[in-house]
Amino acid sequence: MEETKTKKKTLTNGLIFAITLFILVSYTLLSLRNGSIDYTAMLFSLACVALVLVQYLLFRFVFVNADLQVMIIVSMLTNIGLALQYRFDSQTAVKQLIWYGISLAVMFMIMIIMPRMRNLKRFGFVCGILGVLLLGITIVIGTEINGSTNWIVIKGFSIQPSEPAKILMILLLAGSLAKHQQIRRLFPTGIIVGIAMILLVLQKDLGATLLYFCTAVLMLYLGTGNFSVTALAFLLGAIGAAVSYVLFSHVRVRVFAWLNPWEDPLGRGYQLVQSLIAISSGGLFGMGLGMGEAATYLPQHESDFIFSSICEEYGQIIGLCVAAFYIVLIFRGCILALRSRGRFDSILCFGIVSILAIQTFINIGGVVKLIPLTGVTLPFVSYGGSSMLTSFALIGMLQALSIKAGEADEQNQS
Amino acid sequence: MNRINHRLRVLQVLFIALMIALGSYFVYSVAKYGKQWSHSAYNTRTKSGYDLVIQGSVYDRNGTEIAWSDAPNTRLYSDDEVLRLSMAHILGDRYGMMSGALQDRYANTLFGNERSLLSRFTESVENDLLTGDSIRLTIDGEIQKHAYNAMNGRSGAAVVLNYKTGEVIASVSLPTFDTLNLTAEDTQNMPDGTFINKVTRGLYPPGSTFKVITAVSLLENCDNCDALHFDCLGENIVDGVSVNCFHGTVHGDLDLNSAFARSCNGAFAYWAVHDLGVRNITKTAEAFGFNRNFVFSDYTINNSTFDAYGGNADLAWSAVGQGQTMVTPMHAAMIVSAIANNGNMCEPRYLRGIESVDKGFIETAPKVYANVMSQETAERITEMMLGVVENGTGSGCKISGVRICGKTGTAEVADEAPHAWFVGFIDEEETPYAIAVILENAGTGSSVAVPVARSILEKCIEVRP
Repeated sequence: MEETKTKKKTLTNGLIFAITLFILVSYTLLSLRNGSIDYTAMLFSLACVALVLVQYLLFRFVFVNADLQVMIIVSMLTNIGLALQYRFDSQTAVKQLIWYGISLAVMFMIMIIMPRMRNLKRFGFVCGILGVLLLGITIVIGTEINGSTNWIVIKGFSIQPSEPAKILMILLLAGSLAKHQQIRRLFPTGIIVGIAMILLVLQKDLGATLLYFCTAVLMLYLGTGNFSVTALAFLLGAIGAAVSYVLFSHVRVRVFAWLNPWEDPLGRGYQLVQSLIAISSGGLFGMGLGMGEAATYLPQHESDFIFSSICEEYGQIIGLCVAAFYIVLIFRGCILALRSRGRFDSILCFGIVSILAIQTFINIGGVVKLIPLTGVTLPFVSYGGSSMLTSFALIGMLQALSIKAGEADEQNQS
Repeated sequence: MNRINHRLRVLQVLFIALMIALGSYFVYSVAKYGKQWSHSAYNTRTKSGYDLVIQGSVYDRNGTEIAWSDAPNTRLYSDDEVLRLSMAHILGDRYGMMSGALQDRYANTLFGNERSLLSRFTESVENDLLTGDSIRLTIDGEIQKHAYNAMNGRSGAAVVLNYKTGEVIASVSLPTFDTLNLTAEDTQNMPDGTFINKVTRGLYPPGSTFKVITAVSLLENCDNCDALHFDCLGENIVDGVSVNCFHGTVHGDLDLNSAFARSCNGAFAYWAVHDLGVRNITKTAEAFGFNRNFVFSDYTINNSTFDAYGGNADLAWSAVGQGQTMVTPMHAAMIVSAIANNGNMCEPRYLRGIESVDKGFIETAPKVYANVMSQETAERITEMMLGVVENGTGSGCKISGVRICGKTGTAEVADEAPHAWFVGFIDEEETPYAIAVILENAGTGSSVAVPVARSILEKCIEVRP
């Protein structure tokens, strides 16, 4: 027992060292790229290292029941993203670093508060209605950015309400699925989720619609175990997708661009063509940080298409590693869901994992042309404050559940 | 609670499986299409950032220099204007208008990226400049120029293959442009189709040349082909569908050989509906590469399409090469190559080899794409195609003392003159060449395409590349 613990410690220490090394090497390269030494890059890298180490120490000595593997994976992903943000534009990277700090603070706050909240499952409906209101406000005062009306701009700050609404939705679903197993009792919940989906469709946010839908259906299956209802829900979703294909031209454009990007490489297929070119140009080992051209030719190279940028600059192997990191994250998340006590905790934990897993799948699948592009961010890696804050809040909840389960185990042993 | 945990495990496996599927798709698509993507004309990376590299040269198969550089960021082309015009689509233009041209495909080679790190380093230190590797094409400059002249400025394409090795001996596409003098302004004012290599990218209805496929399908699927016969009335009703022969010619009583030699639409439409069926003919067409992705090492050919599932009328017209059927000239040449080569279809290639600065000449090896029919069928259809030239629609292609086999085609298009086709090959050990010629909206195959093909084949027999 002691021996495996020491081994584990050596491993985690090694991994933290690897992340630190990765950060320092990346920013050293970036600081040298303009001929003269860019000291801001060095400072930036020290800030990143500090954030990782502080997290590590807190996890090691304060939050002993939190999951270190998840923290390490998330740090790795975030820092790959941050290094690329700095490479694209050091100004926006500083913004993103600040968001990283805020997100970590929020994560730790959730890790402190949530294990002590016994009544969270009762607030499901409140959360659901809040979520719908949030999405509804966006329709009224929303601003259109990149073809979707899913942003609210307040004094130069733009936030994407569909991001925090994710959390509220899984709280709603976990709350009601923990309480009821009969389908007819779940109707009110279904109606709220349905309204949320309609609001997302009205905002032309295809990615979020798909994400909410898949998460809700999988959570429904987990909660009820009713296979036929789950299948029916998927069928309804498929019909909805077909109807939206007929009704909305922006859906048809996405599908066309997915099936035949090379038939209109300068128009509808432009993003995907440039994404595939970026991915293939990097080769196995990449063109080198700062050497790629995605920043010039690939729109949204810093957010939705960050995976293509990773492949171009760091190489396809690192791209594959990123996918592997998500696999480990999903695997650990499911293990935590299995360890959780009580229906609510299990379902909530799974909801968190499925949001992250499906979002990753939709994003990477889109940029490599496995599925149509729908415009979702890559959790932790893409640029964007709302996205990062939400992802870290989800991880905070996951860690809180881990802490809760760990404490319960300890009590059982003593 | 246990049930929940059971379902959790199921969902865990589902998620992991999905992510592994995603990763596998990523690896598969990058491995299979990665080169094609990065070599596309829309990739600016392959051509930028080489201020210290002298690009390698492009030679024809005999070592004649067609394109070269004497300093970084310049490109010079042969003084021979006809050679430049005929080679334009193979080499590509400097403005990235062309897609899939060889100088883009082999940009990495030409810019020296495939040389060893050590030799690149030593050369850069010694000379301050690096020389890229050169490439040698399979094209024969003389035949290429002759083919271009034979087209006489008419829109269309002509391609000659060595059917035993798959080497592309000549490949011209018209209208064309001058690689040396092309300006950015010109690129906006050229006629339609100037920047498309019609040999590999032009999709045309095959017309009667498709009867080659229908005939192969009949030979392979009918128990008694010798018993097939048809009485052509010029205007034939096949199951309520009117299938007329070109100009309403009445062919009279025909068997398979004479129907093929005289290119009777009624006979092939009737046999396709009554003796073959849509499944058999689709199977044969797909064995020959229709509806398949042609992704070759040098370049990509647009996919030829065959879809006759729209009922008997569709099948009847598809069997004679009209309807939904589309084919590229390169694919048409590949089809006759397979017949000439005992049923083995070679992968066509433009690259004879790489003249590496470090390692000398590295020749590329021939590759068989697929075995598409039995040797007996290939021999039977060869005899039938010989009949076309000896005493059928292709008699204008007869060259004394040489066995020429072929098939003409007149592909009808709405409201305009038909496309003229000729596909064929020389059935001799010493001169293994297959040819496909198409002239757009130019008239009938036998009157327009056959003389062009004959002239090119005579040149091939003379030069013997």
